[in-house]
Amino acid sequence: MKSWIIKSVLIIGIIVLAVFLYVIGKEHIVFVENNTFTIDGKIYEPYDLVRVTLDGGEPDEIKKPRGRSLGRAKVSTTGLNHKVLVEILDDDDNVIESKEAKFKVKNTVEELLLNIPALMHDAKGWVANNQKTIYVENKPFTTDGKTYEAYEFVRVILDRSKSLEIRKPGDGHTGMDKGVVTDLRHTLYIEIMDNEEKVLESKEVSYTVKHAQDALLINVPAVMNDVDGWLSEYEK
Amino acid sequence: MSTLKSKDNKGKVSRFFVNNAVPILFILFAVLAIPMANLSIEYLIAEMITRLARYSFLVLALLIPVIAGMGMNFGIVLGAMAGQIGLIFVMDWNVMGVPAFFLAIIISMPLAVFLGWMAGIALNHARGREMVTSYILGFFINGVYQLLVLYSMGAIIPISNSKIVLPRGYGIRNAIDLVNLRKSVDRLIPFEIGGVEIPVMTFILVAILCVFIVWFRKTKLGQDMRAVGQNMEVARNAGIPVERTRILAIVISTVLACIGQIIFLQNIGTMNTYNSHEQIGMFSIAALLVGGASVAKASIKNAFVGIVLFHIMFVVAPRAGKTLMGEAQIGEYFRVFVSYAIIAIALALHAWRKNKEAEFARRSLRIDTEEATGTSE
Repeated sequence: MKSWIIKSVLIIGIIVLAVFLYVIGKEHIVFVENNTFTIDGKIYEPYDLVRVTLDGGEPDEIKKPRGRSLGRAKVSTTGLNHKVLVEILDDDDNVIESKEAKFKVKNTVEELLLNIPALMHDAKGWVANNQKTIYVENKPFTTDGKTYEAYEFVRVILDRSKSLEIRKPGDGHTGMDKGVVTDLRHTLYIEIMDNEEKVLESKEVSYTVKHAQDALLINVPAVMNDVDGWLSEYEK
Repeated sequence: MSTLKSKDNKGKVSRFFVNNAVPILFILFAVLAIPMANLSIEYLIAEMITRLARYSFLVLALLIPVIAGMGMNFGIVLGAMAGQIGLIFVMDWNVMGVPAFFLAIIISMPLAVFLGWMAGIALNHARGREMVTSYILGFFINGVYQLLVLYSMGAIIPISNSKIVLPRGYGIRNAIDLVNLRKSVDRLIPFEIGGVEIPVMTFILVAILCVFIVWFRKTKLGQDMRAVGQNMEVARNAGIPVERTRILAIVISTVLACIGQIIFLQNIGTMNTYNSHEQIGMFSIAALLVGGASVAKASIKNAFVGIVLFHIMFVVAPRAGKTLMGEAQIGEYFRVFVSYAIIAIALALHAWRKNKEAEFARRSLRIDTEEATGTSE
């Protein structure tokens, strides 16, 4: 009995240690961007040059997006609690303004997007999950008393990489699927197909996700008929 | 009387050469090849330090089955495969640095224990043929491993990281860049001497293993293993659970090999999913034999001497081949040929040495008897 208790405690201890190692060692990619940030009608403009230091590591200098420069840096980090130091620099690399902020990351989050203008102005959503879940539905869409019917079979390609095949709701089909995309700007390519998978109609649209949004809902009949409201925030 | 003593001294000298024939052969080879290779001493030292850190754990993992009289455990490849499975999971979960190293060990250890236990049972059924059985067992488990990694991972076992999964959605890529893990343990305590990087933490782990082996030999289990190694029937009559002791020896060896493979791969920084483990058994055993060990007797000293001598050949042979024949590939062929030949020579020498030892024992007995009765030539 005593031996069993010791063995059980040992096994539980090893499992706890494994979980601890996973949490402290899990990599999170932080995209630090010096880009325009819009929230509640307010626009925060990027700075000419900023220096960003994450968790006391190697500092990154990020210029305003111009030409080929995207105005962002990619930093790899581990653990749940982080500290970021932002220094706004002038042309001679002198620090004009600086700010230090702390943030936490959920262990399930792979990528984060950290917006510097938003951070400097304490705007909500300055740090957000960079991976957005896109729910795509092939269901009837009703607006202004008019209903746009679902298609028999559609193929949706998110950002020219992830393909979803969605049938009309019924016969065991939910009429919905989801995919994960990273970043804010995306494309959506839709093919309407018949039962023999022959493409009848296709359309490509672009859309932008806001920083604070984690999940979006896209309605295929609404997209195909150019109806406002085809893109909305997903509510569980 | 004096003639007998001089014969005895001659016997001792010849016994020393017989016992250390392989290391002496390699030292001679190194003495001849190093000047031909035209490599700087600093480079050679740096290489030897890296290779000692890389291979020590794996070679030391072979010692415990030797104590238990099971010879060279070719089955360490089973532990190596378990270690690689742990690394695949850690890479899939994007865990980095030292936590990734220890997490890989925790994940792979139950698998290593299971494989070691299974191998131990198989070897108990193949008493007297342990080495060839463990060698073939390695091939068998390799097939299971390939099936698991190539078809189950991503399909049945959830692996989703696009960096390690094949584009078809299941199966692991042929080569995995262990960028998250590379030299994480080696560089945990940064230290340099004259521009040569010393992997302090890895050496600390190796030192802990050496202390463990020394301590383990003195424990009840260690003594039991020694007794089993000397004579199974006597050990069984003395109440030692022979089969269980032998299984434990293989389990410990497999677990140590699993950790050793993770240390090895974190140092290399790249994992060849389907090949990295294959040569491990052969190279580790060759290194231990080169160090003067035999299938019946191996020590920590043999492990370190063997790694240095065997890997001097690895570094020097291609360059020496280029100097001698104008082509590095000749040296490389030579190295491969020697690696396998060493095992054959060591096994043949083991049989020869056993005969010599028996002859020496007979002669000593005769001298003692003659001294006791006062008769001499």
